[in-house]
This record gives sequence, structure tokens and C-alpha cells, in this order.
Amino acid sequence: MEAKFLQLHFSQLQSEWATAKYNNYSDLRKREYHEKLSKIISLLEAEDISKFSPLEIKQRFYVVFFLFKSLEFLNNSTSSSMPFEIVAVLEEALNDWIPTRDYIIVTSLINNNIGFSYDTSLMLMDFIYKEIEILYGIKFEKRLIQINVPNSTARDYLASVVLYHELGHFIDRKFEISRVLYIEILSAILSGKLSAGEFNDIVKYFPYLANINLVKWFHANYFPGNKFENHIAEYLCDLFGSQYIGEYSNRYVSYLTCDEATDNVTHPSSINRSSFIMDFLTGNKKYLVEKYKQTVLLITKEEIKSRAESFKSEDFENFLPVDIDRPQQLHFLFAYGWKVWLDDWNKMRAYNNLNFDLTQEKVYSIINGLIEKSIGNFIVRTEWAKQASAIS
Amino acid sequence: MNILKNELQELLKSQRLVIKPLLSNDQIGELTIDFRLGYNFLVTIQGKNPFLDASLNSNDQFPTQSLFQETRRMLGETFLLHPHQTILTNSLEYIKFPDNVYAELSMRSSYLRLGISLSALVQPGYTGCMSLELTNLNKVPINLTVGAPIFQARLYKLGESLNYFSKKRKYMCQVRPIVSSVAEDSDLKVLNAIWRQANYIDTKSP
Repeated sequence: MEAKFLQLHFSQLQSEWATAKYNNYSDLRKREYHEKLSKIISLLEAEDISKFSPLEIKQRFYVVFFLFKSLEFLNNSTSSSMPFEIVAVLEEALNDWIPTRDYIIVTSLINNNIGFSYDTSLMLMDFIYKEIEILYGIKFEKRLIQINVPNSTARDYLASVVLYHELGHFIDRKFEISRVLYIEILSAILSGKLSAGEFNDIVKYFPYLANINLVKWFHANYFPGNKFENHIAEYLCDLFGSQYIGEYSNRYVSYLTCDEATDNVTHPSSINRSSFIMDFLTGNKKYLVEKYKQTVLLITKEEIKSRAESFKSEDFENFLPVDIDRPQQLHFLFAYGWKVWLDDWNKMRAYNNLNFDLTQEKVYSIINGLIEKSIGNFIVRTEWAKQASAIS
Repeated sequence: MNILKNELQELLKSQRLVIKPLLSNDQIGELTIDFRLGYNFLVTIQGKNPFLDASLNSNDQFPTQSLFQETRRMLGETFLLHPHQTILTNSLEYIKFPDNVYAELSMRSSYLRLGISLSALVQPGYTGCMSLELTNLNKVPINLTVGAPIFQARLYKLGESLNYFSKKRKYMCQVRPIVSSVAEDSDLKVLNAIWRQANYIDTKSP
């Protein structure tokens, strides 16, 4: 690796940093993370790249990559670019699984209106954090959870149900649940001890596992990103998300994929994904769902269960935000919003004595606004109560 | 008739008047209700368009939105209002007014003394966060705290009820400030048609 290329790479970073260094975050954790990036860049600037050995150049390549990647997400994670309300609710979900606040959820707004995804780059390159500590003595106590969000729907609380699925990818990677499920399922088939019903349940969701030679091949050739591994992970993340938002994420994804009946390398068919979630939500004790639940419990010590606390309300139909009392109710706001959206909107018209028909654009705006305000009010009331009681 | 404290509390109790969140009962005064500065702001920027267009007469429409930029704060953070700057923001509280009650809004005395002006009316049955157009008339910037009770509403009762939703509303259930929808005014369309005819431009409606 030539030093000149690293110099170019670093110059590109400096150009980016010229603007990014003025980013202003409401979240103290992001500010602290940002300050550490600033220190690393200062230390990099003080180094003489032209005298680096090939190994040193490679080390710095990863450092610059890390800085770019961090900025890519931090730049789009100010409270003005991504609603803090959505992030706060996702953090509540995260807290169910990792109680210590070791992570910061950050988002990158991308120009793809269905481009929800979890970015694994920094998680898969954990060595970078260690390398930075060795090279520059800077330790990151908090890591980033990077989620790509479509720019066009960043403030869309209905589409945001998909983000629970993406958070599921982080939990999966963190605990390596799919890795274990991969072996468990294949071993169960190869053991020959499955009942016909159990085997059929597996084949329903992984049709290619009907071929025993393929089962043996997968068993002998594990690698992240193979079709079976991908599919296991997708089902897991669907399951994870459905704990919080029921069936709505999958219904939305089914629409986005035109109810795709066939799978591909990265995703199972939409029909199967919906069916799998319904096995869980309806309480059917199907083999595969139970296998997932047992494995998750074993690894994380946390249970797969419905985690959104439901409430009865017609506040949205009355054009009012909901008074949320407990964090677990926050998740149910999304399901409630979807329920109202999928309704015929007659209640809205009747309850508010409307003399005109509501346009879909107006209903969309009202539901999004009311979900946002319900979450915002909960945050405000909680913060106020905490500090007001401490002062008085 | 001005509504006094006891009746305000009755209205709140019966939920005919809704204020969410009402962080402190002290906000309900003898004559007025104090409301807080929200966390969403729209500020004007130097854009490509040369002016805010409150007319349909220009061949090139200058969308008002293009001259505004949204910025958000958290509770307890501050927003710097520059001299002679007008910003759009809204109340922290989401409100729903009874059909027979309207309100006049004004800055609280402490903020009037800093040089901020506000004058607005909230109609009976209004639902949403109250829109605030704040202007700093002072010669120095003013640092405002998000969540601070900066303005007050004096509520009046009408002899009869009015239906807020008897006609289509440009602004309903808003939780963030919305830029002026002046271009949607039907009167402007008529005036534009008159102007077009007088200037032999093209008599079709825009």
C-alpha cells in the first residue's frame, strides 16, 4: 500500500471533517463520541504518513475507514435530521436486551425509499476499536448501532416499524443467535429424530432443506452470508420485531415486496415470513418458532414474547395524542397508528364533526403527528417529573 | 366573556379543554393559561428564491417552503432568536379547545420586556399545537429556553358553539410548525385571475 493513497484517503476525510466537526448533538453520548473522533483526527494530522511502513499504512487505512463510517452515521443522527422520538423508542427496545447503555443508535439517511438496513461494518470490525486504543490511547466506551433509514420516510412512524427488525439484526450479531440456530436446525434434521410434522415445519420455511444433500452441505460449509444463514437471521429479526409491533412490519414488507412468493439468497419469501410471524403471534406451538424461542432464551437469557403493552384508546380518532404511562406502551403506538390507518377513517370524521372528507395525505400527516407527539409528550413528562421532583 | 381560573379547571377536568402535556398546574392562572415553547423551529434561510411570495402573479412560483429550514431542540436546550428575525415554532402543548371558546395569545410580560412580540388568535375547536410566529424586535439576540412558559392565552367564551371543522382546514392537528400556505388561499386565485385578465396574459386559472 502506498503512502500517497493513504494521504488521499485522509485528505478526503479532512474535507468531510471540515463541515462535520461543527455537528451539534443534543445527545451527550454522541457529543462524547464525536469528541473522540476529533482527538483521533488531530493525532492523525500530527503523524508523518510519508514515513509509514506498509503495516502502518494498513492500520491507518482502517482508522480512516472507521472515522468515515462513524461520521456517515453521526452526520444524520442530529435531532434535526432523525426524529429523536423514534430513536428513543428503539432504545427502549434495546434496553430489554442489553440493559447497560453501551450503545448509541445512529442512523444514516439514504436515497432509497425502501432502503432500511442494518449496517454491520463497525460491529464486524471490532478490532478497529482495539487498534485505536493501542495506537492513540483513545477508548470508546460506547459503540454505534448503525441503521440505514430512507431519507424520504425518516419521519414516517408507520414505516418505522421496520426498524425493530433492523435492531433485531444487531441483537442477532451481538449474541450470534443465528450461528447457533444454523447448527441446531441442521443437526436436528441430520439426527433423524424429528417427527414428520417437525420436519415439515422446517421445510415449510426452508424448502431447500428437503434435499438432504443440501442439508449436509450447509452443515459442512458454514459461512456468514450463505442462503440458509441469511434466512435464519431474517426470520429471527421478524420474530424480534413482532414482539413489539405485532404483524405490522411484516404486512408492510409484504406490500413492499409485492407478496413475493419465492425466496432469494438474502431473504425468505414474504409469504413465509408473514406465516412464521403468525405462528408466533397466534401462539401456535410450531416446531420452528419454539426452536427459535428456546435458542434465544438459552443464549440471551431473555424471552421472545409480546413486549408491547397494549392499551385501549380512541385518542387518535379524536385527533389527540395518547397519554403514555409506561415505556412498554410506546411500542404499541405504532400498532395503534397502523390500526387507525387501515381503518376506514369514518370514526375520525364522526368524532370530530368534520363536514368534509379527509384526504389520505391529511390522515397520513395526522397519524404521524399524533404518534410523534405521544412519544414526545412521554419523554417531556418523564424528564420534567425526574428533575422537578429532584429540585423540590 | 373572559374565562376565569375556576372555570378553566372545570373545562380541563371535564376534558372539554385538553392540554397535553400540562406539566404544572401553576400554568393555570387567574385570567390566563401559560404555555411553553416547543422544540420544533422553522427558520428562514438564504435560498435560491429571492423572496417569500404571497402572490400568484409571478410566472415562476416561489414555494415558501424552500426558504425555511427545520431545526429541533430538546427540552431545556436553547434557541437563539436574532434581532428582527421571525421564526415559526409551536407550543409544547397539544391543545383541543371547546367549540365555544377562543383564545388570544400574547407573550408573557417577562418576554415582552425582552422585546419579543406575538399576537395570535386560537379559534374555537382548534386542535393541535399552537403555531407561534415569534419576532425579536430588540437590537440584541435573545436566547430562549425550550419548555419555558413564554406566552399566555386569555380564553373567552362565546354565546354559541362553532364547528371548527365545518370547512377544510389548512392547518389541523399540527405538531410541528408549518410554513405559510398562503398560496392555497382561494381569494388569491381570484385576484390572480383578475390580474391576468387585466394584463392580457392568459385567462385560464393557474
